[in-house]
Amino acid sequence: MNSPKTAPELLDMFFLHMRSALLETAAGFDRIQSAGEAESVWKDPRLEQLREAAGILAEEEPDRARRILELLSVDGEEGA
Amino acid sequence: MKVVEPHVHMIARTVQDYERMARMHTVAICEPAFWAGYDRTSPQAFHDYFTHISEFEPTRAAQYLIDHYCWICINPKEAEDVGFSREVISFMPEFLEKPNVLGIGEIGLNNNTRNEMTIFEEQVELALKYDQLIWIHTPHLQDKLKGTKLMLDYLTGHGGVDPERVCFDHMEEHTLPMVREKGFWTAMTVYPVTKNSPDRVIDLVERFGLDRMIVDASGDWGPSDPATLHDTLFQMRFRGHSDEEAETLFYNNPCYFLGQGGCFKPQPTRPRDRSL
Repeated sequence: MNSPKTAPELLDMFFLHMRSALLETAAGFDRIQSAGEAESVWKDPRLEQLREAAGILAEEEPDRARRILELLSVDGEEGA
Repeated sequence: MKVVEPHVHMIARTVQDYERMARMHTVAICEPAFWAGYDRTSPQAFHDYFTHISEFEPTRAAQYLIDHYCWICINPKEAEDVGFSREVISFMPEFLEKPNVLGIGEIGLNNNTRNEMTIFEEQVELALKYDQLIWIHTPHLQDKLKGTKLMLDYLTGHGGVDPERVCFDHMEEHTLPMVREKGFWTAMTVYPVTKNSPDRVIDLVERFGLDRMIVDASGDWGPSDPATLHDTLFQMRFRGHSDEEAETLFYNNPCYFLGQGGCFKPQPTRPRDRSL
């Protein structure tokens, strides 16, 4: 079931939302960096994961949401 | 357009939510058995809980012309205690005979432990023994991928499980494709932060098709809102999809899946088209 909208239409629909989500993440990094004890969490694995996820956004390869979710998952290979 | 809410925990919601859902044309809702926010102190507490969701909630829903159905199980979070869980499982069959019980759910995994998996497997066997539908909870956030793979591997290797009678819930981009590929139903939960947004749900439907797709809001005692289901319906139409396609996703598909169990009364508006 394809999207009834064209890519230019989708860009018009979603650009401001995408811009907003990106700015919220950037501002979150700034907020944490400027707060007290920032050095204690600056290399926190959660922030490192977000930095790596930001790299995925800039890649040409599709399935960015899936790849980011996989990045944010614990190892899925071992059994319970 | 009529809507079915396939997953909501009304025991944790107010009567105003019933009223809101009724005004948004919700005609039926389904309440899986879940964690109460704290661990129950005795198996008997589950007996009381099952009685509440199978007898009392339907009376609340009926005041708003909504059919209320429920699922019965020991939830994954309290399944870590195997002995306790088996006591709960021992009296579940009496509830499976009630006229509004859809099957066994929401069973699954929470921390992906061996004990959780043991109780998941035993409840799958119970469902098969009593010819029940199965509704599966997949773990939260970073544990979802591993837990989904564990349950999918078990069910596909079992040999006696019909994927048409099992729905995996809380699916996202990294888990939905593998579950669909094996023929199971997939449900996507729309949450304010921790699960899908309305647009991500529509993205997945556009990529993977309408058949075997279900959407729910999973309203409970945490940050959640039954109206996110209807937000997603609006967004589907806003993105150019037809009313007929929206009706398939938000009404007919739940009817097709839940109707296999025999007690679900709402009827689909057209026969299922598996090519969608």
